[in-house]
Amino acid sequence: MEYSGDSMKGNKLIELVEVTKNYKQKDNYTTILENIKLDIFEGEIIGLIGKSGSGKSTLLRIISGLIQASAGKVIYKGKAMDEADTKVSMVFQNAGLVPWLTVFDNIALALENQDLSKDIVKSKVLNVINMVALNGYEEAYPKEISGGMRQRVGLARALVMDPEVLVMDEPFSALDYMTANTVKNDLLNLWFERNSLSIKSIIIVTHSIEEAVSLCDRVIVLSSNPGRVVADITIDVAHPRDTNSQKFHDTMDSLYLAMTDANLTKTGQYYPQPVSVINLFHFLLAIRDRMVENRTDTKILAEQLKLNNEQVFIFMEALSLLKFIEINGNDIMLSSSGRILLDAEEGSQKKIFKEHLVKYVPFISNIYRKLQDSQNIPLSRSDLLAMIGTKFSDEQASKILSSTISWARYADLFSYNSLKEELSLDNASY
Amino acid sequence: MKSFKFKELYYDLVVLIIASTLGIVFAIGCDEIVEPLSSLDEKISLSITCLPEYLMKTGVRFLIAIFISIIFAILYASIAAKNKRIGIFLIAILDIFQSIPVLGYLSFTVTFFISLAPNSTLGVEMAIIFAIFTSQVWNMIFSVYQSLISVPKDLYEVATIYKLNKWQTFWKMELPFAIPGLLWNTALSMTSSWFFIVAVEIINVGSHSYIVSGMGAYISLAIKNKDIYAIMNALMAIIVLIFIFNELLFKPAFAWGGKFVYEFSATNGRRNSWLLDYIQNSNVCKFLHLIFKRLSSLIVNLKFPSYVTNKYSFILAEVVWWLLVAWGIFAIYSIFYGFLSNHLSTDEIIKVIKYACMTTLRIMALLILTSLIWVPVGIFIGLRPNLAKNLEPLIQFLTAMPANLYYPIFVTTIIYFKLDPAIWLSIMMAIGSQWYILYNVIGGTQAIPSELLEASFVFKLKKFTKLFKIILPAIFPFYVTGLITAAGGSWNASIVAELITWGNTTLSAPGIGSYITKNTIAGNFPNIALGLVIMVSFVIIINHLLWRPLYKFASTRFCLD
Repeated sequence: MEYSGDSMKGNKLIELVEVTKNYKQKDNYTTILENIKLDIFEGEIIGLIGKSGSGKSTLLRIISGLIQASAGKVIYKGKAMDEADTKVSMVFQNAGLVPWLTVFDNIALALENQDLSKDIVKSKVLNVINMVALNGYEEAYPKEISGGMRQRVGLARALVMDPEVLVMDEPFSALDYMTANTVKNDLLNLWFERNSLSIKSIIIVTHSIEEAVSLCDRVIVLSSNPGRVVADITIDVAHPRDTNSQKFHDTMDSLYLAMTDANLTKTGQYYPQPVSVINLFHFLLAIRDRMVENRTDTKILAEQLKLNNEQVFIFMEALSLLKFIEINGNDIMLSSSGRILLDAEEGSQKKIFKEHLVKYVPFISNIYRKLQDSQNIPLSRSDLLAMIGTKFSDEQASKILSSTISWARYADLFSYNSLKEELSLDNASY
Repeated sequence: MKSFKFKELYYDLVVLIIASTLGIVFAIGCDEIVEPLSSLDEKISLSITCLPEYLMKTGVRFLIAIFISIIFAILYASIAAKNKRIGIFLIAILDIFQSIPVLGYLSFTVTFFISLAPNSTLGVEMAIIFAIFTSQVWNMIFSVYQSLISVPKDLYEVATIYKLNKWQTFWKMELPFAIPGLLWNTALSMTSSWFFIVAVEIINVGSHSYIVSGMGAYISLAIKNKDIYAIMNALMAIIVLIFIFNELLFKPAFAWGGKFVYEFSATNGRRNSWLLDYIQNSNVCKFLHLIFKRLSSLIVNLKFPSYVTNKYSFILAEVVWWLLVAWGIFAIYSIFYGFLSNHLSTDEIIKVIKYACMTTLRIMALLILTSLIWVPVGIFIGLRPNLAKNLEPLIQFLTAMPANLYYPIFVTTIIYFKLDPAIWLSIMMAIGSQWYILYNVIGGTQAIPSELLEASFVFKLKKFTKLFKIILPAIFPFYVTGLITAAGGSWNASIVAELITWGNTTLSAPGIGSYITKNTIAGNFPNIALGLVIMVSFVIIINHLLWRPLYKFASTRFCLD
């Protein structure tokens, strides 16, 4: 089947106008999404991609009506979201099934408030069960079937209410590789036979660039803290897509570049990333091993280290923050201090790492200065969280804190008493 | 095909037999609820043939109390979880109420309920059921509340996407999510309730002795007549009742409740119950289930008229609620204030505080003593999985056995050896509660990951090192849980254990428990109120200054996750 994104671009289905989302915590607002402008047309599969913290799931929930935007408008077929007769259905990351209802009842739940007769409900449910090839499992409970089957039930439940827009929140990330692929293929088959279905558009949140390129007609790249649309890339490759073709690879490259730009060229890198020091060293070694003419790139690393691109970006961010690598477009190079670090003895490795922490990670140098100025009066957890400020959600802030502690512990810079929840200078550095 | 049908008929037959038996039992149990008050000797017979009837009556009271507790727990917890303002207040109240020893305020509730139905046993019945209810409902409320505030976000998102209204979401998502915890806590409450039912069925207030037929009355007559044989009969009867409750109520309930556990892997072995299998396979029950399903869908899909669901009716309801609360607080305050200010001197208050200190000391000493015995025993058993498996039913059973039954043995011993009651009566306070320590230590020892034990074997750790570096820290959080439960039980037990009668002999140990009991018998309401207020203050202060910090420390420092 030949199909290309542009030729079938239809009417505007959903329009996001300057959508912003803030969360209030304590007395301050944390901005998750900022000024999102996005049009979704009939006949498109759209991918939302971005690092964790980019608000992609939040955006999806605004589109599905689960949460309200703080500012801006969501327009559904020309009408404001809350006035329109929306037909948006959702597939959840972990299927979102109700464990005490059978497969049949889980799907029928979606029709609960539609005032349909029992017979119609039954025939509709059996129809979608048939569509996702789950015949025979009507009376099974979710815990009795496999993860892939549960995700199919989630899909069937989303389809049974005849939605126009199907939003999917990382629907394949909880599945193993093989299962994910079959469910993806089934989804595409349904999509191409959608004449019989009411579906007009699918929006998928994903963290896998490969998944985005293999499924979507358009990929929206979001930056993080706050999330903004930084790239809107049309994927003009005919289905079925050959993952080995040159065009496929070129598209992936351009997406990697967009992701790198979105995540790494941003100024104001300030905090440690949630990776362990040991893994950072391994990653640095891996970069050195894979360098050709002194450089390597993100895609190669992701593929060869079997990491998803989100993890690769976190490593790269961490290493470039510490100035152990330099990044130029898609190219990654070891910096001179990175090279020295790898060749150093263990004791001097710690010293170099500590120097870089204090010099290049502003958050850590702030703490360091504070502790020194106060003659090492310990900082409590709440002091530290206050220093992180309001830019992040509570969960993100405590993640930042635990990676700060973990990095500084390796470098013998700070010590942390987890019972008292207090941070102080390590004896070695005091 | 034919044999299949025969089998279904067989299921039907068994279910019908059980149902009709229970129906008859229930009818006997409810019989003579309303009758004139009479005295112990006239009404109760120690003959073994009367025992089944008493057993049934006690059992029926129990059932009614469980039913009320479940409904109340769901209502209370739902309101607390749904309205933040009311919730803060309700949870604080809960903290106070669960610190009040049930047996302490019996005199008040009995007087109150009897005033509702004077000259008949109906009031006493209500007071007994109320006492069982108050002895078991608090942790059930906590469990439902905890579940309701931790319903997975996924369930809410599903409900929103498919446009379920709040009422439907409650029945389809929130309540089912709370069921496993509620069932577990109901069973837990039951074990401690046996103690109260025996204590409550014989209640003396002032010159009145209120008797309703049941196991409690039987035991108290046996004690009065010094009839060891009758006490043994009572013991056997209660064992039978506990067994029946287990087989017919809790096992099926747990097997059924398993489906509401929020998990998607079938890792935990399914609990089985023969009765549930019979019920689920019987045609009669399938038919009843169908009717039940129709009815419940009527409730779940109930559409409220807009004047009920609109914002203003909620505001109005909340205003009415706070007015009621204000009135209630004022009423309780004025009752207690009246008692305390008009009838009691400062000397009396100081005396009672002294008593409370003595009881506190006694409880602490007992906790240390029982720990010294049961922690080593618990570790010994816990490290031997087979032994633990064999002993588990026995220990569960010992926990459930009402400690009041052992009292006669102790009293005769104390009298025979002329021991000092102030010391030796204390031990009885621990009789019932010591098992919580043993039970939790065994549980904790079994929860130690086998890798840790294997590691200590591989590294050839000395027994001493292994005990102090691995086992004791690992069981510490469990031990603290057991300690807290045991302490709570001991406070309650102090009321019956510090003052004991056997025939005409009365033994008493100075303490807050005996103070409350003496005044209950004498009908001195102001003194009971004083005793209660001081005991509750002690319990709350100890909870906040000792148990909570200890629990927090144990669970953060020695948690195995």
